[in-house]
Amino acid sequence: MSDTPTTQISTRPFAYWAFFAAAAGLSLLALGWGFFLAPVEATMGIVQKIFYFHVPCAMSMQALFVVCGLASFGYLIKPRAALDRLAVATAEVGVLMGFFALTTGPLWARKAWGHYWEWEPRLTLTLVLAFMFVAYTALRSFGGSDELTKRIAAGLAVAGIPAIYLVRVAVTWWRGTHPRVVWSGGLTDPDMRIAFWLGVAAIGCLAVVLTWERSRLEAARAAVDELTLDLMERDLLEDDV
Amino acid sequence: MTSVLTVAMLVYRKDIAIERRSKETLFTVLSFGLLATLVFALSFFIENDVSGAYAPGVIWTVVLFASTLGLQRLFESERENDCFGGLLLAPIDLKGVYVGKLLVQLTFSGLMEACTIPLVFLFFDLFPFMDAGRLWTLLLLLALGTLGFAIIGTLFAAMLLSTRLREVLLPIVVYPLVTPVLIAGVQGTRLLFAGTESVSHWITLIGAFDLIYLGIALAIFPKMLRA
Amino acid sequence: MVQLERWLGAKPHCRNLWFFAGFVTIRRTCAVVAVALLLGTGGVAMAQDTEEAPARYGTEFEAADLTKHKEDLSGIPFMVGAYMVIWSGLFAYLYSVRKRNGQVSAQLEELRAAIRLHDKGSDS
Repeated sequence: MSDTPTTQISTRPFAYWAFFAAAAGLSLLALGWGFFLAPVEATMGIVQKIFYFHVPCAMSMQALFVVCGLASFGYLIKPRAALDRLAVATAEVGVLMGFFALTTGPLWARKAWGHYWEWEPRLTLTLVLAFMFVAYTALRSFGGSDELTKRIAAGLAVAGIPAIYLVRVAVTWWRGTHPRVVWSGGLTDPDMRIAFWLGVAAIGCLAVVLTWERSRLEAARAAVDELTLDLMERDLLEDDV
Repeated sequence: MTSVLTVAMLVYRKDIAIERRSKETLFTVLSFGLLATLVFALSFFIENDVSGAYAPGVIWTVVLFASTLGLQRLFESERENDCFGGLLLAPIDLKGVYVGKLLVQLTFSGLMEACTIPLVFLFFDLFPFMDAGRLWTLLLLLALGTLGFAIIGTLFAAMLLSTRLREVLLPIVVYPLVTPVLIAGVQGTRLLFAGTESVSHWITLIGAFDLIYLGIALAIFPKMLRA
Repeated sequence: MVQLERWLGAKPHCRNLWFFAGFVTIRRTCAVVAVALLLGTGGVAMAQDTEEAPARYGTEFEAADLTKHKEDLSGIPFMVGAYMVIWSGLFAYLYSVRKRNGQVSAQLEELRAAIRLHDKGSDS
């Protein structure tokens, strides 16, 4: 008996490299457009250019967490290793994106609002969400790699979905409002719009690449565990003989 | 299959019987609650006339922290000698185990609150900020909030039972999830101390939280532990 | 000290000269420079942070009319800091995942080789 098919780690397919190239190209394009073609904003000045990557990071964080919740839900219904890997990868990349959104936000806010931090709904929501998925990744890194821990983590991610809504309600009743620019047509300049959507595309492709890479790591780890068990079993069999 | 409520009552009576002999959990939770109240009062008391602004945070932090300590001990009797495995093997509806443990946790939290919250009122001199009608609203808010903490806490205390680092992971997992309850509780209590009669929107929020998560917990508790 | 060296990842064969040969690698230099730049831009931003900016919640971004007034460049340290955080963070993460991937793959190969050896041994 040689390697079982489950222990094979596939090489990176063409689609991976396509996303990789798209991420690299779009990032350069978005950077160029944001810096050289999009005009400087009238009242905030050059610091507004943070927007072209701050908002895409926050958007991809939310998208990744939703994917994580859905994958976990699927895993609870039908435990498939691929869903679990997807959930781990999206949670970790989502935490990274949340970190970007939460560090670049205050730098911008200092110029735009006059404070680094304000307890304001979207900011609070992003912070609480990031903490929730930090808990998920902590559980996955320190909780062990057994089946029970995977199910518990899936349960946590599923429980996180209604919490997103409830936290949103709570913080909106508690505090004022975040600037809503994109969906209310506030991007007046066409070059600003292009730079922004290029940023969204670039960060989106990057998120896909990072998630892909991270879930490959998870697959390789599972294969190592499996082979180690395999080897131990063979040793035991030999001892019996 | 025995019914959910029968199982719940059996689990509840078993835990209360153990507790009446050892009194360990009650001692832990009560002494921590009282000491936390003392520490917060020493840290945050400024003047009698502004204590209504600080006391809500103190009340809810003490409740949250002391109930977390109770949660750490909630499944201690099951963890020893792997009794939890036996419970999982028994031909019973696991929802009953969850409900029973939830009731145990609520009992300890309730007793702890009955001792610490009068103490907060005393230390922060809150009696001028309260009247009978608003006190009942405060009690309702506290009851629903404690239920919310207990629902999430009991679920994950059971889940993390076999995990390494469970003492650390439990608050990490539970606190972000209960932020809506914490915000609603603190803001509602603050409004009550400021003289507002009706805080129905905050009570509705905590009530909705309790309902949603009780449903989720009952749905996933057996699924996650017994597969 | 040996513990520290191991923690820092120094090669055992250059222990005597670890601060010349084993310790200074391209990777570590890059990391130190990146961290210094990150902290530096943050420090500059904080140091320049004297004026009170107007507190306002914008819902519309308008292009500055450069014929009327000069563009406002006072936010450059903040902007550079933000871009540094995002891009250094992304590359660091991608690098770390790839590195971990390489390590686990090597482990996997080792295990496969061990199993192959084992099977051959038990067959004969």
